Amino acid sequence: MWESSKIEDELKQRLESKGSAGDALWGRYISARTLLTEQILPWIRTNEANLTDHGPEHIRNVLDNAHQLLGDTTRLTTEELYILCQSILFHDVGNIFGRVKHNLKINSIYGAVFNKLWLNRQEMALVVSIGRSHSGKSSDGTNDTLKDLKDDFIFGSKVHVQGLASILRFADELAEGPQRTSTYMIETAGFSNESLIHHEYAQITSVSIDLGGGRIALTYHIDIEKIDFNDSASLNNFCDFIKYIYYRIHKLDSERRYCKHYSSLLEPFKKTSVFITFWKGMEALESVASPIELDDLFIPGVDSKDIEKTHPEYGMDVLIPKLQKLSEEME
Amino acid sequence: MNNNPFDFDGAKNLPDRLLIDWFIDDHNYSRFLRSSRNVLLLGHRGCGKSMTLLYYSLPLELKKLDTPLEQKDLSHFGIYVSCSTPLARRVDHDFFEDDKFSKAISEHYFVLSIAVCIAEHCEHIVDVFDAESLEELKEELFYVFDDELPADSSIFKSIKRALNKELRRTQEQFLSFESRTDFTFARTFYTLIVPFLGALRSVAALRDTHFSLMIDDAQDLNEDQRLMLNSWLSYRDHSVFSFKVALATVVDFDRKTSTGGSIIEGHDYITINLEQPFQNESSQFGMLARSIIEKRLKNIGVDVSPDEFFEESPEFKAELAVCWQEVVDKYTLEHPDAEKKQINDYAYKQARALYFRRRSPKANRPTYSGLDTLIHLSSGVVRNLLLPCYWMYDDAVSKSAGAVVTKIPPAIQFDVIMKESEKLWSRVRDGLDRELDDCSKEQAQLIFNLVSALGDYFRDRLFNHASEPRIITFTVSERTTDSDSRLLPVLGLMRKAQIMYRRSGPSKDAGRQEDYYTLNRLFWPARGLDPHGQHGRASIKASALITSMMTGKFPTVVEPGTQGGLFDE
Repeated sequence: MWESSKIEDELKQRLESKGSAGDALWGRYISARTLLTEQILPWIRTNEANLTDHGPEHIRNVLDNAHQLLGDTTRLTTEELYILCQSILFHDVGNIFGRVKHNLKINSIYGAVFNKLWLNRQEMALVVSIGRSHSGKSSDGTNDTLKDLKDDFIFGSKVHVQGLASILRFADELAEGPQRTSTYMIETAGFSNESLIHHEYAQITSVSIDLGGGRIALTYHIDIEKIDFNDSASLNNFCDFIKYIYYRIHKLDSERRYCKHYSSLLEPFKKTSVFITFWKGMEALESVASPIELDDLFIPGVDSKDIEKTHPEYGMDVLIPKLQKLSEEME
Repeated sequence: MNNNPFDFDGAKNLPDRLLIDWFIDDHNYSRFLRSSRNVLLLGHRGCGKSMTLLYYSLPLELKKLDTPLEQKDLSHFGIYVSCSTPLARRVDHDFFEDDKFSKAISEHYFVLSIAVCIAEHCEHIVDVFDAESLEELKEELFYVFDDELPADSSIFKSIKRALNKELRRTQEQFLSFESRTDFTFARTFYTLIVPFLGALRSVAALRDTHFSLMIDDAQDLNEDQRLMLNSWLSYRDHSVFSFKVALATVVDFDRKTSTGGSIIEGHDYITINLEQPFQNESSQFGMLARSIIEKRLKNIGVDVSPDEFFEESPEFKAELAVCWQEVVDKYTLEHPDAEKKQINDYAYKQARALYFRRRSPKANRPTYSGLDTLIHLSSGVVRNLLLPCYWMYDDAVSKSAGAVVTKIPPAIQFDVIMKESEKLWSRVRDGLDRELDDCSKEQAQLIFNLVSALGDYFRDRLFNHASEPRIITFTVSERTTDSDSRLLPVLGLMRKAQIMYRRSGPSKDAGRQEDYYTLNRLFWPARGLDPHGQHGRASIKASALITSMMTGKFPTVVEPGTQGGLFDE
């Protein structure tokens, strides 16, 4: 049972105030949502069993994130809000055909959802182009997918396509956490080895969107109970996992800066704050290191975003011995 | 100050020396409270929050060691600020509808009261400043206070005087402000406190000092001030100052800031929860309680262990031993291969239950006594532990005919426990609307109904439940938006009145947390029940709690769902 999100409630209210034309658009949205959340999204897992969740709950998560990123949806026109919500609904449907190039397969689903009678090619063009740009490559083969998007019109109203695509892309990046995986499947080796790290990452991650504080706050809860510090294989796996976390932090912060470049609505997000707590079972270890803050400062010639360089206390040579010592003290 | 070692007066009313003597120094606290991180100290009223802050504040730090002032360690300077004073929470501004004006006034009063505390604390160390430093300080502070200050040891007295004058002037002029949009007079954190601390850091003796602004009773701040405090907590630079905030958990902590943001645990502050997980007498709280009693006895020269001092009734002990043996024998007979741990676990759950089941309904109440029972009755709150001890000691002294009290007889313990338990029931029966401003008469009736029904429910468990009879903690299952809206405000009022305690614990879903509720255990003796709980919690449906609340009777269907776990109560 789908419980509507705040952004949808606001969309409904605004469309209803526009009379029958608005009612028709809301009807389109509900039709699409019902079909996708019942007929398409729950079945992605049958083709891609090892993916983290891309079902209805993920869509709901992205809608909530978009609302939190915007804070005030009146910063978008009603038409833009409508296109944003439709694009969020459709952005991952291509996964039903498999993960590879899933972002390029939105249109066939869109066509199936809105049969010929309901098809609105202008709307489709916008939803598909915004949905596509949330990942993949641009026309020149780089990762800069947002640059290809141009402003457009729908129902006589201008749509800032790059801005909407930026919001979707960033809201999607922030849709991470335990809700996207299954602890049971992780513990019973139910995922492939290649995808396990993504699930383990989801399991320990918590994302907070703090618009007023101008930041994205990432909190990690890492349990070291099962790590054998005297076994090199166990230790290497753990180090790989920590490095993967650093990689994902770097990626998220890059997305923050990238999306902000294309949308003034994301301008308030000036930094990414990171806090890592280590646990030994149910006991939290004392604070291992201070929170990390990644802001927009860029020093020429220096990659100031390499956590191990900017925060030496998070380097493997410092962190691992410290964790081992704290772990032993708790035994 | 009387000579009763179990005096439970608020920490703020205790003489410094006594507070130093009584405080149980947990070095974990010291590590956090002397650090440069923001710390949130959470706990029920009576958990020791004020005592902890005061213990690490500068005046007490100076008194802990008998060294000359110039040799004192001033690397950490704790400034204790109480919010339970009219100054911190001035309500005059409520008369104004102008939002900006009321915010400005709220901050103005709050920062003035903090500045007064800083000045008061500085008076303790004024002698470490040489003439040159005082001259420097005078120059620096001229820009903060717009006032000529003396460059001698009376500088902080003068600052205090100037601040108090400003407070008085504000109050006098308050109602005569013609234009409410003009609040240029108002002080802010960044125009008063930050430069004040900056000026103090400019003098040699405090060059490397970290200031901890210890804000006590933050729940008493008005809403504007709470939002402001949260905004200050989000201030990133902790090189000069940080906050140590004590907050009674009778209210849910609002993490919003005045700029529309929010503060996030770990990123902006760390939490020390003084509500210790309390399962049994050997839990962390059990050990703390023992240490407190031990230290207090030592301070009055009584050289006996806490267990000897609060002796358990020998008759009760003997009857319990019989029940224990009977349970062990029965279990061993039915499970000949059982290991010792299994036998002990079974006896732990069943022996006390058997004792209570076997008692004739016409028999007198069991002789509630012994340190373990007192610890359980405290529900994990230090003040609840000391209060009955105080009255017991008082009774024992009046009956001792001048002799030194070296133990409290079980009969005295029993009398006090029963009196306090009856008193608690009377409070609820008479209606909490008499003591809580925000509790209506109807809500008071709902609370009485719920307490009575829960009493019946746990009595039924103790007498009839096969596997987990001694559980006295519950979680709420099958919650809905509607049930939450009916139930949570009532549970909130019960927590505020300290007749119900809420703690966080692991839920059945791995990694998630849920709320565990326990009625104040002092309710149980008046009903002849066992205040000693066991690990585990009952899962009670929200609908059953609502029915209980409305009718005073627990629905007849006994909830089957219980789950005991290592960290459960």
